[in-house]
Amino acid sequence: MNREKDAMVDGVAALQSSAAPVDVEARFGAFVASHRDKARSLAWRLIGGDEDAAEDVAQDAFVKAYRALSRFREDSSLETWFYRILVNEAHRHRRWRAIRKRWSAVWDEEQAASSSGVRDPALQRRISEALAKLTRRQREVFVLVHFEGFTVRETATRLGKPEGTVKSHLHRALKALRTELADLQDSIERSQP
Amino acid sequence: MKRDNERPLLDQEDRGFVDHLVAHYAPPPSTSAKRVAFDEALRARIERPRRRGVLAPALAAAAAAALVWATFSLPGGSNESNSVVTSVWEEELFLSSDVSPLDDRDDSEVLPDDYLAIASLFLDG
Repeated sequence: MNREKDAMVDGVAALQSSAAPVDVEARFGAFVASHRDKARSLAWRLIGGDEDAAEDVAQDAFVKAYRALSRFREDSSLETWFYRILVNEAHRHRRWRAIRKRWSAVWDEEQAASSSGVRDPALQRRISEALAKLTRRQREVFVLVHFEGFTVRETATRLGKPEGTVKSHLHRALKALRTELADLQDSIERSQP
Repeated sequence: MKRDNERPLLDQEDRGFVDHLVAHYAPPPSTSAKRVAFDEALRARIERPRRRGVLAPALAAAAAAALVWATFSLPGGSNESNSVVTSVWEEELFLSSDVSPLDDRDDSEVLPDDYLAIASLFLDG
């Protein structure tokens, strides 16, 4: 807990040293400190497990948030807007990566390398590939709700979709993932008490 | 705190499946050093001058040249220009392959500054 608090103070101090007015900097610093980890985690999951790219995407979204800060009086509306931007940035990254992947085999090597050090790289890669087979909205909704813990209502607000649409995407995403990863069921049952 | 009625209702089997995915598909844990590095990189990006002022005239000129080229070369329809059109068409088809019909929305707020500069030149001007 203290480590997180220290990091938050460091973040605010680092961002306060630029030239813009202090109140804007302090507000932005606090916003970054509050959402940094969640933004990186969300970007990482939406992109498919690439840490450097996730950091890049999260930073792009934060830069846009910084430039739009004056348009939002309340942090709650800034937050809603920020996560919509972040999701769109992650999608844009996926599209550009798809182009690169089409013309080169480099991406596969990068992915394999960046998977080293995780608990089960093969399983992580399978989950990443299964998520990649979902439609864009199914993937975003599933990651926001089940991985990042947003409620259906929060997800609907962030994606600008009706709650019913979010629920529908969630249902279809889960069904598709269960089909795609059906062989995991045995290991899940073994791991349960 | 999430209220129960805001959580998606899952039966025990689905909940076990989702929990399994969550447990095995997580980014490496963030550390204090990573957070500081992130903030420093973010500050550097914010302080970096925006490219729009520098690149916009060059991009606008390039876009205008491309428009002139397209206007005069496409109706003639040489084999070379047809192949370019086909490849652009294929590229757009490819780009849209992972977007469902439900995804049609205005994403202009997240377009890069360079695109916006070109769009404003042709659409607003």
